[in-house]
Amino acid sequence: MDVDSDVQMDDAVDQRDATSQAVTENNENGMNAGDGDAVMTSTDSSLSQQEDTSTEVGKPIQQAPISTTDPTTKINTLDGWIDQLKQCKPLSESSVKELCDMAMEVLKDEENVQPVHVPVTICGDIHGQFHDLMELFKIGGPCPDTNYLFMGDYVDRGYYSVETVSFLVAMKVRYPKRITILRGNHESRQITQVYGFYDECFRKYGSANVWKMFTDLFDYLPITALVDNSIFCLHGGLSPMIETIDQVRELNRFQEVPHEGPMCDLLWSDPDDRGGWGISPRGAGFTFGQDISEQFNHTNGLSLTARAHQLVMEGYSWSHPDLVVTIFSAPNYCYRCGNQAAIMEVDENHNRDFLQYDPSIRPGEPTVTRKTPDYFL
Amino acid sequence: MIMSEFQRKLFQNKLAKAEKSLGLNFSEAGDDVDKYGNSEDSFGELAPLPSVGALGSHSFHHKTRLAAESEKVFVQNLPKWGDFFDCNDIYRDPNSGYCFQTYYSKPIINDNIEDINNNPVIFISHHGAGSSGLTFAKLTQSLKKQSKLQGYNGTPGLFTFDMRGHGTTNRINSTESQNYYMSIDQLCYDFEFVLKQFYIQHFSKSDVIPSLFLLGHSLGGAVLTKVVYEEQHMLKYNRKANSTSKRKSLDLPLPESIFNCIKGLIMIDIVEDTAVKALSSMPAYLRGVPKSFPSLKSAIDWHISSGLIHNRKSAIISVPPLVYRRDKSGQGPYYWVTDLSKTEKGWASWFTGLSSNFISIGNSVSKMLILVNNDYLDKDLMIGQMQGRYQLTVFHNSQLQLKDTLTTQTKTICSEDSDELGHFVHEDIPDKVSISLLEFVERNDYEDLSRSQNPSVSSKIDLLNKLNKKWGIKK
Repeated sequence: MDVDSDVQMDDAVDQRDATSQAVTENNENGMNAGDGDAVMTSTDSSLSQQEDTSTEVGKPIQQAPISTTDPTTKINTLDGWIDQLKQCKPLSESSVKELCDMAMEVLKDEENVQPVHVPVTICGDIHGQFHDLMELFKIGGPCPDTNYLFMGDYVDRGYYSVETVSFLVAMKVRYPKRITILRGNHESRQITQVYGFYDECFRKYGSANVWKMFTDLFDYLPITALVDNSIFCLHGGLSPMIETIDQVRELNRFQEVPHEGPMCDLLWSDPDDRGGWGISPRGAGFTFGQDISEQFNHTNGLSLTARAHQLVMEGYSWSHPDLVVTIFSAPNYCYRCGNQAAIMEVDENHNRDFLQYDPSIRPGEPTVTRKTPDYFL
Repeated sequence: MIMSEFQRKLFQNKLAKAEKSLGLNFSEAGDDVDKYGNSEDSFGELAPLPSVGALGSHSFHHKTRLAAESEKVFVQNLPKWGDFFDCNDIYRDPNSGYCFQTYYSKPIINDNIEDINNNPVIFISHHGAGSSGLTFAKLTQSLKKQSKLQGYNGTPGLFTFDMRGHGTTNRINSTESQNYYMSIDQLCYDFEFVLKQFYIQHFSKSDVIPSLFLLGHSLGGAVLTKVVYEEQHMLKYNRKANSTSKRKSLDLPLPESIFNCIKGLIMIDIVEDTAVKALSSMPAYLRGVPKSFPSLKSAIDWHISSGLIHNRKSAIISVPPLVYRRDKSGQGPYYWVTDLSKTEKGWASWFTGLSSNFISIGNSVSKMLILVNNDYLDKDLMIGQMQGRYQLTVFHNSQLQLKDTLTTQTKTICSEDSDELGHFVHEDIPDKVSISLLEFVERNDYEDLSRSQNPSVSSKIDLLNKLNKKWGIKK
């Protein structure tokens, strides 16, 4: 069995087989192939693991250089990274580089409108709330047993953007057919400079290199997904320049999110009570009314447009009246908004079920110590 | 023992300070920021120059006279309000007799663009506590410059005034009790009075209906938000039925015709939660501020060296109205016009409810919040922002070395902006702020300010109408 092609192409059932096979081989041969093994055997890092289980922000662990040419090693490497990230420990800079290179290979072949099949669990904004993301997988079921579709905004505002985006990207590379990750308006060079991801990368790695790697990768993320030709999924909303889904397919998405135009709108727009197209108070994208949603869903034979982008206190919210659903998956957003989070399960028969959840209980959230301005009159 | 040592030190400090001020006055180098900022801070509370005269030294008298001369030259060379504004009328409130110093830079409309219902865009600006109307002088200039450079079809006007107890307004009203009566409701009332006067003076006799964009810095933002929120609220729930307004006794609501001209509201660097927290450290902060300055130049220098203002070109017009000479002979030190510690009574009222009011303002008034370096939003503003209820613009220190890593198209703008920025962001980087303001107006006011990049689309509203038509939406 060609293990490498499994990672790239086949579904997760085979992948899991490959994994167990790989692990067995690994044990039999007694070779220290995986990055995860390197972590476990390193005295420094195992010490720090024992001590640091409650420490939230760690410096990246130095990993031994690994080879990704051997497929077995590659799976072990990915599993090692995933295990490490699950403990909220960031990867080394060189590992991030390897991860992003692998992810580009996977994402470059995905479509602007990435096809996805049921059953799938659809999720909204995460924004660096890593522990809540772990809670999400507890609530929704572990990946790859459950298929996931994330609609963007993995970084900024929360304290663990690096760990969050590293984890999701690693999962994407490990289980490419089981998890789909779309681009949000925060997966952008400009936005991440203002809202925290840039600073966090700088703080955790001492340079902007990792920020550069991830923001370069963001250009490859698909911008929409279509679940069984029925549910259109994207981060923001509709664009007046886009009447058919085919028009999305024609866009060149491999670029920074522009300030205006259809790609910008898809990542920025919001549904509104007012009819027609309106100027968005956000400063980018448009607002669209029920009449627009009706037309768009009808033209494209859709039952639903699922999107994220807006905080909704219950974690999900219907608009127009059931043509558009907003899903927001960051509970108590930015540690102060007091909202619930939700994910939407769509089963084989297209039945929809919302799972709501509250913030995870975690040891010692770092307290925000912001310098109060001297002068505020 | 300790006392005498202390006294000697005191004396040395006075001497050092006097020498510094003299040295300063002799050095006519101009724009160099002097590096004595720290010592200036710590000695600020000591009595300045006159006590030095008691030394009786002849040469000292000579030096002092020279210093006075050079101070005179320095003051003469400073820019004046007329370099930035067209009018500086004084508005007198007939009810109280209180007078307000105002400044107005008129909008310029290009006549060669036809078919467009060209209503002038005017920013109505309200400064914060401890500042003055001329804090917007440099921004006014930048708006003129940038609307040309960015290819807009007109130049917005800017109207502002010295609020109660501040700048020239303080100086032309002699009663201390009136100058320091600064509850938020009083400040709202003042603003409505001034805006109404402005409207009557410039627009009541013409067919022109201006598009007004309220622009408030710090406390000014809180005042404007309260005015818009309450006006909108009262319009919605019928003014007469509203008997709960605390401002009832003062109520001078804006006529609907004026209120309907208000198209936008912009707050500069004010967040309720942060402001309330900062207030508790205000008394300590104010105690650390120098009580007086030996010269106008040293007052300007202090604003730069203390990091309050990062742009000297702005400080030379915005700082002079903040200080004055008590000695009418044109000699002696400069003291603060506004004693901020006397405004403490009002503090509690100034920011309460600001964030929830701001996000509750309905869509007829577009909103933007401009912050500096950090997006320290409180809960209400965070929820509002994440629901897309207003535009958030955060200006970053360009010290963050990002210029090399950015691969997106970055606009190169002709700019006198500072590299550093802080609370007075509109003074520090007036060009960048004015471009943001112009784009905000262009986006939200639709008809009155536009760039003819696409000849078939005259403005944003025109574009929107065409898009809706394309989708078969009738409005």
